[in-house]
Amino acid sequence: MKTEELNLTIDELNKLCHLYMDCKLSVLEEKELEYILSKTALTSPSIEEVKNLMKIQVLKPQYIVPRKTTFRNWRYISGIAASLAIIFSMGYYFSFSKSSSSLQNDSSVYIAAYSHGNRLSDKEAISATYSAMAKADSLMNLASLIERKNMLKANDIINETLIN
Amino acid sequence: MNKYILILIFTIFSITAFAKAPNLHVEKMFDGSYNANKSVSLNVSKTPEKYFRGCTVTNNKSLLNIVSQLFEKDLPRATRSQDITNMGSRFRSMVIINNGEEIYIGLSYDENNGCYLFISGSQEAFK
Repeated sequence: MKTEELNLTIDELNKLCHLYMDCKLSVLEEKELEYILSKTALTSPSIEEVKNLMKIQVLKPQYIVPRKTTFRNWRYISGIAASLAIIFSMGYYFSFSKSSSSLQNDSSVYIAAYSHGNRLSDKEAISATYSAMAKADSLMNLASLIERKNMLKANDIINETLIN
Repeated sequence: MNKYILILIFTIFSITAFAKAPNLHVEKMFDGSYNANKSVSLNVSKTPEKYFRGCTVTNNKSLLNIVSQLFEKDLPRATRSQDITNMGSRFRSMVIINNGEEIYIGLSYDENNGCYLFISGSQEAFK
């Protein structure tokens, strides 16, 4: 079918439709008209009537009916979505239970101390633990100071060697 | 269907493996087995900001060796370590990263077969 034939005016189409209804078209011409009507956006009472007669509208729903593969794709997509929902809900449950338990731990301050086999009272434990922490801090500070001092010393030696 | 079950199992494993306790060997000193030991003084503290464990061993060579061995076992996991001997006293330390946070472990040796071991870090590092 030539593209020029598709560019018919509404009058021309109406004329063709009338010819069709008067049974004055050949079989080939009827086929061509059917093709043109299935493609055209033009409309008029006679065009619609011929379309109805040719059952062109009946053919249209064929394009709307979802194909089996699309339906199958939707099944896959819904399956994946369901799995993701389960995974996320479980992840949320785990993270929530974890954070709630950590909150419980965070809210409670626990201090205990034993000295030479005896458990100290709460007050004694607090002061003993604080002094232990202070000792640890001073050891860490001392260690970093010594390390820095030794590094400087090493750098001096390296520099002296390079100069000499 | 099998594919979804596999995904589920994998996700559960991933979630459980996300944050884990450091499982340090030196923590054995604080599991309760040395609470009644006459040569040991222990300090256990857990606050929202800080996790702290302190252990002082007094005049007990075998226990000193045990502490040293536990420290040695954790040493391969350290990202940084120090071994400083200054004016006759020795101090060893290491930093272990767990859950993206630093755990500082220090071990100071005394002259009389004693030592002071401590573990310090943020709460996040021990979850």
